[in-house]
Amino acid sequence: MKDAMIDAKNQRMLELLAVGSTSRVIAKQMGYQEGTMRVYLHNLYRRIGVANKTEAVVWYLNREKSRDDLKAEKSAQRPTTGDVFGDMALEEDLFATLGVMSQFTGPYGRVWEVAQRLEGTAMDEKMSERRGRARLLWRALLKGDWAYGKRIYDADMGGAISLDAPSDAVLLAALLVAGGFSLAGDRLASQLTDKRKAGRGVTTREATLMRLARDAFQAQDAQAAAALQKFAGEKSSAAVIKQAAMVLAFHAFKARSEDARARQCANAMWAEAESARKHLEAMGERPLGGEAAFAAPAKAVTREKATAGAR
Amino acid sequence: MSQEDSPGEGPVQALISQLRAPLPAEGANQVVDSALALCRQLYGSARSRDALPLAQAALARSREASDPNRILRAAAACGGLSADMADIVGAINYHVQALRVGMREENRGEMSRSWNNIGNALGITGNYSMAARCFQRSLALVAPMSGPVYSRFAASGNLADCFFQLGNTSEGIAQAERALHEMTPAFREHDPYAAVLLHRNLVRLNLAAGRLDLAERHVAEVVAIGAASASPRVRIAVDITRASFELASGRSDVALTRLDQVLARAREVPSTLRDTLACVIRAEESAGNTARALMRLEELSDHIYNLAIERAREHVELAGVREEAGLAMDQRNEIDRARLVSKLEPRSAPESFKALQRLAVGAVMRMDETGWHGRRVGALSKALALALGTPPLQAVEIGMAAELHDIGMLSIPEGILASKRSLNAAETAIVQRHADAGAEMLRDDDHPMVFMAQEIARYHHAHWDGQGYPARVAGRFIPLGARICAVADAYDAMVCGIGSEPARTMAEALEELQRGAGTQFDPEHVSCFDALVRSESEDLGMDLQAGSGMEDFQELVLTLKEDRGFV
Repeated sequence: MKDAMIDAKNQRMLELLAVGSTSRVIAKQMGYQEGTMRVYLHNLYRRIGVANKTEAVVWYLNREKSRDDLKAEKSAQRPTTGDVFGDMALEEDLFATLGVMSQFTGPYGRVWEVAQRLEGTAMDEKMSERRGRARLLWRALLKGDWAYGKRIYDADMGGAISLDAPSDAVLLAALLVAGGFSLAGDRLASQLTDKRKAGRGVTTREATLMRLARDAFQAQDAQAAAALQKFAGEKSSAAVIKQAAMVLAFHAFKARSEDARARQCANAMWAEAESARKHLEAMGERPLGGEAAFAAPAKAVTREKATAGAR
Repeated sequence: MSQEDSPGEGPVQALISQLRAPLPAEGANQVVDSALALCRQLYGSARSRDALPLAQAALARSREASDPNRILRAAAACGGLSADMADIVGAINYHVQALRVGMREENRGEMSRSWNNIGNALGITGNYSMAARCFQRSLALVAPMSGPVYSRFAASGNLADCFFQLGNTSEGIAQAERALHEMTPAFREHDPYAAVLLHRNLVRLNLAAGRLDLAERHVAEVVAIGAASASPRVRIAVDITRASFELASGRSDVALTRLDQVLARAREVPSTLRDTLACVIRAEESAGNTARALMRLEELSDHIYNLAIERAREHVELAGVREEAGLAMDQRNEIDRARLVSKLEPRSAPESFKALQRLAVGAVMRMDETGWHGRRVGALSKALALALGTPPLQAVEIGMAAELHDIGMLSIPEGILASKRSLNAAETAIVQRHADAGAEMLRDDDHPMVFMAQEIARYHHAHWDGQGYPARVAGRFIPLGARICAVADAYDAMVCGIGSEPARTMAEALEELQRGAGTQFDPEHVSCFDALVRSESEDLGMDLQAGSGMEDFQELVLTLKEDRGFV
């Protein structure tokens, strides 16, 4: 199959070409001299059998499309079971399948938001930026959008993230390793300081998560994915680490076509999301909204009264 | 308090040792009789915990003498005392023993009493359908006897309550009237509690039937009987009755104030706690304090009901009363919960919480120069609550509430707090006042978190075995938040050397906690806390044995507090 010839570097070059980048931009993005880049590009053209940039892009887009077809075909072959959630998670991805429920999982989720409010902590700009960044990483992890991780890393966020938010960096490192960018993943992991040496750093559990993810995706070890799943089930870990391990185990099992176990992990994620939603409801929250229409008139009245009083 | 007018430790210990020493048969009987009389007295003044060993010793002695009459009475006493401490399984065990003796002796009256007692024990757990069957058996046994029979009076009164709880008002009123008919002045004199309960049942039933005038008459009866009795149990029943009448006549604020005091007393008499909580829930709900009602419901179902009912269920099947379920009660709790949750509003930080936090820092600064004792205890409490499996937002609230646990220290003279030597009795008594002072400072706040803080302030020095203060509040009848806070508080005090405590390493302090498990602390919480501290510090690469644990400990607490996007 042709795909075998396309390594991560070539893949990245094609991606950049497809969004219309010039060879100068591509060179800059990938950290080569422009001349070197041109040689690489020509090697790529020859390898996939096209004459120029335009044809390369057409080839790439066709290939992407057929990949989608391939995916559809594959999922048509996969037998459906009674496990509706597991089936869809395997067919699509965890983010699509969890849908709005994904908000109840991961770092800086809905529960965290309510906890901030209970504690009376005002959400400042810096915090909401940090939150946005972490949520995007989490989303990519659920989706299995490995390229997103690489983009973040390439935009030289890696350095800043590991200093600023070690827990996010752990997610990013896992994302990189899972996507096969093991060199970048390792480099990022080595940047992360040990929490016992510096105040901001990763804990032993987070380090374990990164190590397990690396084993599961890189060594392609049957035991390693199971170890991730087991780690997710451990009682003592913080919820987010548990969930990250669960998601990574899902992807690892899916990649190894161990559908039954991937389904287990997917369903465990659903259970996590569902229990968080129930908990929020039990605390008087309306986590799925849908009440604004009723609340509005009452508010309007009080505002009127307030203005009348002010006059 | 009842402590003054009831016998102290001395006579109890003396009688126990007498019962254990070899005695001539004649003298032994006398000792057993006076022991049982003392038990009765202690039961009346809500000191079942002290009385149980005495009753057990009396039971053992009567067995040795194989005196069926005394075995029966001693077993019944043991059962009654166990039930009073909400040890339902133990209670049923003893009552079944008494029942067997009664059967051997073919004494229908005593068998009837035993069934009545078993029914009472089940009633404490809230399994009314099962309890009703026991009362019916009790009634059937004495059916052929004519004239006023005590068991008939007691059992039909209790049966009336079951019918009320099961929603069958007309049948309940019929039973209660029968009991009233059976009651003689002697019964009323002998067992004022049963008389109060009977009238209470009539009040409730009439309220349910919508006859306020009749209910009011019975309230007057209840108050009259209650005035003649000093027993805390009777007083609690009287107050609950008055509160339910006030609720029905729309004075829920009066009822709430009354119930607030009742609840504090009921924690010392566990067998009344169920009833009290049920009434508190209704009062809070009708006063519009949904969140607080929900908190109480949680306490009712998780910490009392589940515990007792599960164990009772297993046991009663063994005793030959087959019953699928106290399911009805589960369902009722679920329905109540759903209704309350649907009314609940999203909440935010309580108003002025920052100010309270500052006050708490100021209060603590008088014994801990950093002033961070409260903060540290808050962080540890939250972590412990999470580790115990409390849902995250509740754990957050427990943590915040626990920050304020020592706020009452503001009212304690500084000279006492600053001294590093151990305190004399008078000073200790003054320091102990900080618990009530804190509760007083945090009183009457609408926010459930401050409400929880009030309970934590009041009960964070209550011991698992009832030896702390407030005295006799023990076991699971200490509010959950206070039990969690107690462990965190003691640990922080030991590591940081607060008060007369010498500073210990983190490992030593853990060992010290282990020593207090089951006496001072909830054993489950201690083992969970131990595992938590060990795994967290391992995660941070700390050495628990290190000479001064202070720096590492601060680091640990900071990590627990740090916001990493998790709860």
